[in-house]
Amino acid sequence: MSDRQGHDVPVAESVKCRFTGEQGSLSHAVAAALRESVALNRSTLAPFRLPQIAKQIVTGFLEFAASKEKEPAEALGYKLGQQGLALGSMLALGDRLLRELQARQASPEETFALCQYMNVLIGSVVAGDGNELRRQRDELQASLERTLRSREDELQRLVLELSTPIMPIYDGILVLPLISRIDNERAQKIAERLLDEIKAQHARLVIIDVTGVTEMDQRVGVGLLRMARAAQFLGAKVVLVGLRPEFAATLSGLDLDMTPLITLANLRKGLEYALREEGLFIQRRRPLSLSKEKKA
Amino acid sequence: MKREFDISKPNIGRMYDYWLGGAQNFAVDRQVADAILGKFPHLRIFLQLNRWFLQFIANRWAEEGLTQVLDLGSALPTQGHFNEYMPQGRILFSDIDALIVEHAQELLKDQPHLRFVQADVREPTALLSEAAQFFGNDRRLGIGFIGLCYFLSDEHVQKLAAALHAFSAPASQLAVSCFTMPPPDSPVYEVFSKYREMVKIQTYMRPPEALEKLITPWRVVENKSLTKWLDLEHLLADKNSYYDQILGYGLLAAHE
Repeated sequence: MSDRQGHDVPVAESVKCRFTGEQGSLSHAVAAALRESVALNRSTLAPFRLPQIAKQIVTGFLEFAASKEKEPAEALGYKLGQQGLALGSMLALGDRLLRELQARQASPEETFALCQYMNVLIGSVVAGDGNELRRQRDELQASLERTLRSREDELQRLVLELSTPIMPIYDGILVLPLISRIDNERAQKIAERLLDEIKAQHARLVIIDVTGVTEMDQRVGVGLLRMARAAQFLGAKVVLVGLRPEFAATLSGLDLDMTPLITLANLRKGLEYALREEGLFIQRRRPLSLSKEKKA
Repeated sequence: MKREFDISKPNIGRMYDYWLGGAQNFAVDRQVADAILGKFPHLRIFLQLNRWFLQFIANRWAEEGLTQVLDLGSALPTQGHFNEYMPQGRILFSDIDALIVEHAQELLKDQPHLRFVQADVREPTALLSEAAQFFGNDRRLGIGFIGLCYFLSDEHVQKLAAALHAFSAPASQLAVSCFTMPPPDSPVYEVFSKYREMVKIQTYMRPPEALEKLITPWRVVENKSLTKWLDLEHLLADKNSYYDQILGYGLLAAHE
């Protein structure tokens, strides 16, 4: 026993020698302590796993005592903390192990090894537990953020939908002023609504005013053309007005048959065109002075 | 418009998560959950027993090679639910609460082997058509009916058990947990009645034999107290003097 005085190896070795044979009974004691404090754990940790965990903890102790290597104990503690083993359970089982060693007349060195082991284990259990709870919070936060974003998108969609009025300005003539950004999805929605409206109002001509459109890509251009063609099938002409130069470039780059689409500079020109198509025209009223003369 | 994550009101699913030790909950949930726990300190242990029973069964099914699970009244798929104890499992979760369903769907996103649907088990047809779609023709299922049947009347349990039996294939299994009513002259009876009043939900406690009858087409394999299933009989017997009079029990039945 003289080598026990040394600081290097002997302490651990002696612990290993004395208690390896009692691994089973030590595990049993630890399992009992874990069972007693089972309600403290997070419910993630199934009680049927406790005997296995007790065994890992005891084996871990014997190996730690022998090698004094912290890493395996740290890894074990971290994993147990993640699984939901409570700090209270750890304290209870540390207490139990200490009593077991005392009952076996453990030397001060052996007891010291246990204290060191429990310190490492408990420290990592706390770290693992904290990490798991952080992970859950992050997950919750991410879900919450995704939800808020999708709710925002939905609201935006709603606003855009509401800002797409289709106005009958004269018998058979509809005006559809579009604003803001148009993506493919919105273009489709607009097309659906417009076609319904053409049918309902027996429209012969539709003026789409894109003066307020800030963003539009090639797909949307194709969508507009398709909408114009569909309108034609329903017996309505489509007049596109207020096209910005950059969109004109986009549309011309498509290399598509643009004949179904009549394009005019602005809404005023569109209105004049539409009325003319209907056999109407805008005329200034006769001057007021003339009517006075008539009266007189 | 989606109603998910209404964090202005407590949600039972998130409260449940909190009681089980999870972090998928908000201050508003914890506040109410703590208030309830203050009045009924043993509620938590009953909820834990249910969850531990679920894990025990999940582990057993996994060991038996039963991988398809239909779970009823799941609450959030957190805190050691079927998906954590059956990593190979193909699991269809369900709950009646739209908020729980949407939160859960967020959590299970991008995992095609796990699906979460909204369902009212009192009218099982809709759930079973979802199940038919999810499981296809392989109808050998483990069915989790844990922590739910005391919210259902006898008629509803009977109808549901029969429908599940008709739907699933032989060698399927059904796991149920339930509670008995405490005797009317016991002190816990009063506490318990107050609890029922407070949660404003009709509850149906029944003795184990009565439940066995209700699920008739299923053959009962084992029926014993949850603490016995889990080898944790010290839990209620030791400290909680009178709470052991409400017996929580678990029943495992087979399709033959």
